[in-house]
Amino acid sequence: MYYRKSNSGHRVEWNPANESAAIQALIETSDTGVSAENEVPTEEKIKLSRDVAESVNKRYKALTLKKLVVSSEDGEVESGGVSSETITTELVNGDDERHTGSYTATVSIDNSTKQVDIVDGVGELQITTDKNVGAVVNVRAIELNGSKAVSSDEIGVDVI
Amino acid sequence: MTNTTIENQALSIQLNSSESVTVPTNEVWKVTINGRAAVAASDKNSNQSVRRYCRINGVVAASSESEAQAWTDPSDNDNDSDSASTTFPINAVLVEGDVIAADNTGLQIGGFVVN
Repeated sequence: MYYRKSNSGHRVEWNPANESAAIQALIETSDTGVSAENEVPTEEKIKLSRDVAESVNKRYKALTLKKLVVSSEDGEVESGGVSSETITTELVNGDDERHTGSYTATVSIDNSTKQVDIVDGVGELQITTDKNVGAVVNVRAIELNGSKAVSSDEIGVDVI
Repeated sequence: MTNTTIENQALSIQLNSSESVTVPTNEVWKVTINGRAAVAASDKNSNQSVRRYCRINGVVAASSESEAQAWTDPSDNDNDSDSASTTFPINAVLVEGDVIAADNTGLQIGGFVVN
């Protein structure tokens, strides 16, 4: 997408994996000379200064960041398996916008794990508990598509 | 007797994520490559733990020590690893056409062009 010069004058090239996010990062960053998708050359790379290239790179990272966030319906679940609580798992980027597409998240519930299908950035699962009133059920998003390359967001659900 | 002075050209290249540099024609580089703790504030806040890679000619040549360790401490650098051959820093002699690429990390490349 772009090239720049290093401190010692060597050519550094940027070859991001996510082309659409890269184009968006170029458009959203000042001084790239790109304000629309059709302004991105297909054959050659855009020449940028080091500072501008770094800004583009940071923006690209935010756009492609995959962060798992868990939340519960009301933060409480009844003891004795009387009723269930809905746990929502979201897959968002650095702007907290949901990612499109299909993924599988692994969520740990008191150290046992469950697979959650994430479609267009959101997935749900139901939990029940046999814990006593006053205890806490710990819910943590630990993996995305089998990789630990995600944030490990954690919440506690109060047992009532 | 004739004295010959060999002047090597210094190399200093910082790569951001997804950036790469190719050794130019007729150059030989002697370099040390380090992971760079260039973690943006937004990344720190996300508590994201990502294993970071350096590739030479497409092959993983070095990485941060583990997924669990990486990025959990904002002041942490990658070169404090104590095991394995896949950790930073690495020393390399590279010839024309060799490509150093930063996957999802910043890399600091220092050294000189051998004359």
